Amino acid sequence: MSLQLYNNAVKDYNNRICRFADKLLMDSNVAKDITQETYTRLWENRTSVDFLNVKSWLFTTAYRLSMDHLNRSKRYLKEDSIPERWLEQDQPDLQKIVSDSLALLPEMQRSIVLLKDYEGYSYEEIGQMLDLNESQVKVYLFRARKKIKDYIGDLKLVF
Amino acid sequence: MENIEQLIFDYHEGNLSDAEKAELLNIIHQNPEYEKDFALWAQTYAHVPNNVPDYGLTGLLLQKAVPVWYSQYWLPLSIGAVSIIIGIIGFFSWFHEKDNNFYNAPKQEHRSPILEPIYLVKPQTIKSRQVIAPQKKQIPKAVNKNLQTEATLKKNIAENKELILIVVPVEEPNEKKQVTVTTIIARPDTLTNTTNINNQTTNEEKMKSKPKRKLPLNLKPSPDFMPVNPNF
Repeated sequence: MSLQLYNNAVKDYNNRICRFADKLLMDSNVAKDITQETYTRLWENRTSVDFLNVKSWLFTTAYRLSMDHLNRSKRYLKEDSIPERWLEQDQPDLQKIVSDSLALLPEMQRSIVLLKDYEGYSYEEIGQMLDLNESQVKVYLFRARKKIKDYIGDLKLVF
Repeated sequence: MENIEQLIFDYHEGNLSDAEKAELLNIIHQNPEYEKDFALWAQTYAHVPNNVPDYGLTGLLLQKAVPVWYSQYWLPLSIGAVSIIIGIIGFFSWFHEKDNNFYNAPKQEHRSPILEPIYLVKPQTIKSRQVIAPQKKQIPKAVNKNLQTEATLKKNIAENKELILIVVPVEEPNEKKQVTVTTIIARPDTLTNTTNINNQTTNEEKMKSKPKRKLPLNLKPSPDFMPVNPNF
């Protein structure tokens, strides 16, 4: 990978990588650090990484770095109750509610939802990045959407 | 239906064919209680934004271009420059050390002409059965004026064994001019100048009045001598 191709990868995917890490970790500062670390590793391994597969390589590296961070910090982002800020609004924004509901999911399910909905990866590609088979990806994704659907349904009952 | 949620999930994921989609919609239409779940499943995809936010990392992550020659030859050039600098420093340090060794070398000791080293004679260990032979002395060519008479010489022979036999030709007043040889025995310490036989008696008196001359000693030291340097 030449210098120009590396810079193209920076321009095309650095914000997407950061958003993925931000949604996964629920911390924008840590997400920026992980993004920088991801591109640092890409620069160090630029001779061995193919430019055609650089997007999947970046997301895979960002996911692993995020998991390492969560394991070190031992943070559990899953919430069992509806946040109070949702109850304060008269007409809560559905997009923001669903986006915040990702914090209710485990890290694996959250990662799959982000890669599927935000980046448009297929089940097979997600399986390669997260070291899962296709059926496992479908199962995790089904459970994640069902949980989001249940919380949305409970919220509408409140409103 | 237990698998209605799975079908609804597959419907929204795009995993069903057209026939399967039509069958599912027919089931939902026949069962209105499934419409609420069908709508909630659709709302789970509402969190996807239309645009990607900018986190301000693009400028930090971009790599600047470097000259081709720098990227290819910086390593050998840097190694060469470092080796040259090390060589120059090593040469100057060696040269400086060499000068210091020259100027700081120990100076040779200057001996004054007056003071001469004192040579001590190595004591000889004489064994009980060792026999020391008398040293042979060289016979000088000159003959002393103060030659003694034969009587005194014979007396000296009995007293001192270290005598030298000297042969001196004497001319007698006869027609045939026969040369007779007179043997004279003298001590080596009395032999200094040419002979004067006519003045034997006067020479004998002079010997008594004048002090004895000592022949110059041989200054060559023997191998047994141990020279001692007074400067130590």
